[in-house]
Amino acid sequence: MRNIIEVNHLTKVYKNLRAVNDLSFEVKEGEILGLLGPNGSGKSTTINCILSLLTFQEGSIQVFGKPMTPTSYASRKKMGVVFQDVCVFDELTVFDNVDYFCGLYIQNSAVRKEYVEDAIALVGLQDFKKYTPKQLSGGLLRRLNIACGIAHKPQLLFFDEPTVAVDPQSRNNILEGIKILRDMGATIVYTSHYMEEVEILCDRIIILDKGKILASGTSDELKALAKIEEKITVEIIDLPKKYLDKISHFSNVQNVTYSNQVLHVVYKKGKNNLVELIDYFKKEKIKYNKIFSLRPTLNDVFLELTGKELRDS
Amino acid sequence: MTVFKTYLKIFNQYKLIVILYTVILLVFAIFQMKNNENSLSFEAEKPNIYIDIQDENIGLTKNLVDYLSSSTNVVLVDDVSDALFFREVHFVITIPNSYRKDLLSGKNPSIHYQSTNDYQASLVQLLLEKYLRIQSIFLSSLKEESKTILSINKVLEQKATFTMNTHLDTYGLTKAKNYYNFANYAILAGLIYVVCVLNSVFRDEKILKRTKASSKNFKTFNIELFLSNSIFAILLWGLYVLFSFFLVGNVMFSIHGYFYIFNAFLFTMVSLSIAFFIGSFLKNKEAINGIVNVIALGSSFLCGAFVPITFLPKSVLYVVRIFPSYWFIQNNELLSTLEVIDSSAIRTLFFHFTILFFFLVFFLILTNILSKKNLQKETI
Ligand SMILES: Nc1ncnc2c1ncn2[C@@H]1O[C@H](COP(=O)(O)OP(=O)(O)O)[C@@H](O)[C@H]1O
Ligand SMILES: [Mg+2]
Repeated sequence: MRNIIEVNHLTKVYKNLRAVNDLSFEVKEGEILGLLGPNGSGKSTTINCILSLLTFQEGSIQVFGKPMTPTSYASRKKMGVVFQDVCVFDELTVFDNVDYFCGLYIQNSAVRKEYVEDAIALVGLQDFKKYTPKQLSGGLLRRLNIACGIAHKPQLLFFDEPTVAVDPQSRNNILEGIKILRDMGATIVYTSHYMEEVEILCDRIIILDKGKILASGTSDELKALAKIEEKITVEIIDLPKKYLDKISHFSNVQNVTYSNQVLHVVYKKGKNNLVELIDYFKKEKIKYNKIFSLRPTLNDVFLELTGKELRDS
Repeated sequence: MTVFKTYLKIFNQYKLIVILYTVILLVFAIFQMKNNENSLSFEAEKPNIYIDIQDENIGLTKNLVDYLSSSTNVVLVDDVSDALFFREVHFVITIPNSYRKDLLSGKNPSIHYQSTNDYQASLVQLLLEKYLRIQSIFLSSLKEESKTILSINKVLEQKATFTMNTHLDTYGLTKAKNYYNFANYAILAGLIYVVCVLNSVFRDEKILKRTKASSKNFKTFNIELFLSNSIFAILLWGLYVLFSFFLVGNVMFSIHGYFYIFNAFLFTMVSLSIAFFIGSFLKNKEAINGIVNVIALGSSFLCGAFVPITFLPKSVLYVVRIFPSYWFIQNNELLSTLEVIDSSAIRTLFFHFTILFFFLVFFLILTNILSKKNLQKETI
């Protein structure tokens, strides 16, 4: 797989804030790369630097094997971007908006008409073509924003937090749309601070914090970094302290908490942890309602790496 | 084409306010014209001249001096170049030592003059050249001095009455002048307003960032935007010209009229370039009205679009030369006083056209520099 984007030692300083700090990564052809990080971790700044909308202090960026400049029009022709903020003309209809942004790339009006229709269909706005942005709900507006960014069928696409503050229906539509684009051969850079999204969508993930890469890899590779194997949650009406102590001394157990009639057991490693715990409850005749096991999430990885929660920030 | 098509669509959204704005200004222009119908502003603007008579002041020399004195204010000055610079005189004529003798002996002595090159100066030049033309006609046929003087004066008298009655429609010319002077404000204000409002849509921070991220050449983008605006500018100019034909058709169907039209066209283009320049950095829609008032109203007032500028203090009259409006209005004034548009008048008119043209080029270059900076500038 050839590299579509190569970022080497990128550093971007705003006044005295290092928004991006010595960042290096590449994006391979045909993959969806996820940039995962809390707000302010430098995701948008990185994208803006790649697009050469921002200047940066150090490092180099190559897109399609060439350095990017404000006038790299040939490269830009093959690139599309959906910014974090919705940017459309309030004065134009849905169709005219997509047509304008597509028209910045595609001159031929017959081809463009077809492309615009395709983009509107992909985001499911067929019934809203004559609406103006002010008449659209937040989720539909986001979908219009996406249609405007992808209509010219670029090979390389950037999506900067396209699902922030979007209703579940629109969110699913957006994620499905992005998968379709990938299946049609586009290379995609996707940023988000929702780990679930990144986990189901992205082939490879880079976790960012304070402008630095904390970790990168597939979601399984990253979870291996969490140093926990699974988390078992049990609902128990009453659990005397002696059992708690006992459980915490099981060989694979890392941590045990019991509060609000819910028991959390975190395991470092091992296989049959759930069976072992159920057997123990049977033996001690402890009654429980619900018991389930969870694999570690990217949040656990983030917690492990930074000592703070991803979702809270 | 995308930019142009979208420009039209957005224009369509704002058409009501644009039409309202245009109609109001047009009505004011017509009102202004009617209002000033009776003012004989050309009377108040008799040029000042200084005659340096090195010859003996008798005979043909005296006749020339008398003739000039009757239609201008002859003043005394200490330092000629200072006086010209400060516009104390518009025209300085030097009658050389043996002027009369040379004339009578069949030579062709020349009269030297210096001028301020404004419209009052060209009025004097017009008078002088007319006199010299007639004098040379009679001198070649009549050898005697007194007869020549009589004939010259007779023709000059005749010509004056002839033109006053039939040829020079002072009334219509003044109306046309008032109308086009007001158009200075209407066109400048209309263009700044409309161009800024429409451009601010395209130059909205987010939209502009998105445009820069695209493969649209930023220069082409700006050119397309400028051409789109220029279509509106030409429509606006056409509208004003059209109405001037309804209002003072007899003047408009003459050479004077064509000059008024061309002058207005050039000024419209300058206004467009100014509006586009302002629009290229003004992002705040609320600020537009303020800018229109300061620039359009201010420069129109100072340059004499509403009241003759002779009422304004002298120091102001020098400063206002930095405004294109000044040169546009100077041309309108000159046209309204010209009996015939001869070569010297055309020279002055074209001198002013050239200045207007330089303003146009200047603002286009400025906008271009700004847009280059804008492309390199960080957008976030
Ligand atoms: N124009 C700017 N000027 C100064 N600081 C900025 C600017 N844009 C972003 N920042 C700062 O840079 C850091 C990274 O921001 P950003 O790239 O927007 O993060 P993210 O997209 O991951 O939320 C933040 O701390 C933010 O406050
Ligand atoms: Mg961001």
